[in-house]
Amino acid sequence: MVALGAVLFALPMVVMVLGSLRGRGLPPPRGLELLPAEASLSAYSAIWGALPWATYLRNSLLVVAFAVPLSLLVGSLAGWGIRLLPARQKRAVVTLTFVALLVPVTAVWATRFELFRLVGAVDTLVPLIALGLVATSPFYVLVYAWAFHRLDPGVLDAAAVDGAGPLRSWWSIAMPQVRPVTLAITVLAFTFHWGNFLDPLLYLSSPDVYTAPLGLRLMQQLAPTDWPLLMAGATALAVPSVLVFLVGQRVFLHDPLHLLERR
Amino acid sequence: MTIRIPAAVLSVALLLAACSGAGATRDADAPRELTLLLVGGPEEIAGYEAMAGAFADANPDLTLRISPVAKQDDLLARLATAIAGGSPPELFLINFRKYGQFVEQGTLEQVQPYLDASDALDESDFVEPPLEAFRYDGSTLSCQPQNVSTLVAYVNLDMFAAAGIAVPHDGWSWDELVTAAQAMTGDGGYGLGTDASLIRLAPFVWSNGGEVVDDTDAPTRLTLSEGPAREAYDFFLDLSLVHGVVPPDAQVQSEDHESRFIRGGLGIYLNSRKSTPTLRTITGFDWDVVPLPVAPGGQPVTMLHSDAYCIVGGTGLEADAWRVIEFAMGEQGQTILAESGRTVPSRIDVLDSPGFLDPSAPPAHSEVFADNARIARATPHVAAWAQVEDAVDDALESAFLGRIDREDALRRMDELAAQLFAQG
Repeated sequence: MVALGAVLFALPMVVMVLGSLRGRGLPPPRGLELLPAEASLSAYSAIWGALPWATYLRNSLLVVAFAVPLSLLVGSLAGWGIRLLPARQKRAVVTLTFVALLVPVTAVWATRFELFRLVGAVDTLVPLIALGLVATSPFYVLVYAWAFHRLDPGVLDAAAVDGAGPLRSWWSIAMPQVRPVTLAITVLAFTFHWGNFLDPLLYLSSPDVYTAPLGLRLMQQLAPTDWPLLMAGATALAVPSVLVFLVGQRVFLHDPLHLLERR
Repeated sequence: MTIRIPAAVLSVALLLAACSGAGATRDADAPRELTLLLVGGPEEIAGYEAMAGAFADANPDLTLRISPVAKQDDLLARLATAIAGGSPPELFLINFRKYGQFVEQGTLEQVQPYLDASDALDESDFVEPPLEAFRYDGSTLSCQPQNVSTLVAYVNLDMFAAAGIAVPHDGWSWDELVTAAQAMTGDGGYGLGTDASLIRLAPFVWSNGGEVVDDTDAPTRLTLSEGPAREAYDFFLDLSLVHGVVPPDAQVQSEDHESRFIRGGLGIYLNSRKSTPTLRTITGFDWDVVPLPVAPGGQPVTMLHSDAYCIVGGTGLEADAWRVIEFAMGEQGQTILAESGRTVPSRIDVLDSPGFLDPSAPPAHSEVFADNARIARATPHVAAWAQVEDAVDDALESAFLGRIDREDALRRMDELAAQLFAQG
């Protein structure tokens, strides 16, 4: 059953990779081709000429490099804050966080845009990175709050008696014990920011600050005979997410570097 | 404590953001920057970048930034957000079926006064149908038409020859379309490929002397169920449901019409000029364009597919934006853009020039586009039109592919359209 599920999820990736190997200038295949006609890797070299991919990838990497650590920092601090609150306030804050989770993104488009315009940040990468300031998603905050709740109160009390403040306890006691959560949220936040299409579409107007998902969307305008290029672009964009997932999964299951051991 | 830390991070980030904004303060001598938002793929973007470069060379006090998006929907999303957020582009390029909402909102600077005062451009330089399509109130030009693409029939000359059918270069009738399509259907090939949408059906209705709506200036309902329009609706659906010359549902899902035509599996393919650059990559057979077939006793007519440059009002750079349009619509600008093969120029002199009509690059009969430019008709200019199409096309396609009954589809289309027209 698990294998069947894995095959179902992997199939689109397989179609994508096979499609990218098909020779250019041919009409698209009418079904799944196991051996693409005139198979070659030429599409992978050709995509660099079609659009400024180096720029798009650099911008995407910049966003991920800042937004993911920022999301972890803010998410874990906010989760820790919830952990430390008295029971009644805690309920109120958790409820509020849930409400924030339910607000559709479309409801805050225009106001966010106005805010970023006021600080002169429209058409820069700042609005994309700034998502990290709200932990990217209230969901990450809730996951951290839940994880911190499972910590042994005795250890925390002992640390407090020894003079550790809330920040010291967060860094030295709480964070080392929730490493699996940090790892999971790293994977989730990376996947979100790396594949984020809507925010760049709305906030960016200069091609020199475009990110890779916008570039990939532009490739959809290519003729059907050039779809190997689109598939090559899609494959190239998917590889980092797949790698992050596979590394994350390996660490979860086997922990070869002992990253997840509680200390 | 935990509340203060994120607040501190936020302040630093906002400070950084403010600094980056301060750096953008305009220097009085620096060139003024204009942004042109448009829909385009990699090849078109390259064409527009080349035009922007030539524009900057000719206008040292201005720079033109091309801001491309991939789809009309993306353009509308970005434009609406940017306008609501107070930071719109100075110019955008949009299809005539989508610009109405921006006129209604008062977002646009009308181009008519600029055109009237221009030394570089004259209204009589352009073919009439796209001008008419962009006169929202019927008299004042809202946006400057850039191109005048129209619906044509792309034909596979090898399939016509194999079926022993003469290619209808001088026009043909509905019956001749059915005969030709039937002769080319079989052995895995199909005679005709067309999307089932209001903009594909409309020219059939008009050719038969019917109308798509009750009042083209102030429509309140669709009229597809009446008289000649109903005959055209039935003829269009019969192509699929009775004659079986159109690929059926499962075939359409597995391969789109354009890919099927490129592969050599489609005799006739209805689309606008948009397909020409792609079809030029065909090496396996010869192809050409012919006009749409004419209804019995009817008129030759086709569907307009035109985009125009619109100037956003209130930016303070409206006059500069008009200079961009003057350049883009001048001979140099039009020549650069025409190189992609995607554009049918709206300037009469360029449209009728040997450069555009050059028979060495297929299609051999490019004059079909030039002739069509004179007889094309537009859909009604009302703000709700884009939504009406979205709503109606779904039902029309379902009927065309045999998923629902044609009477049900008509009722559904009538209801949806009436609601949307009523909402304005």
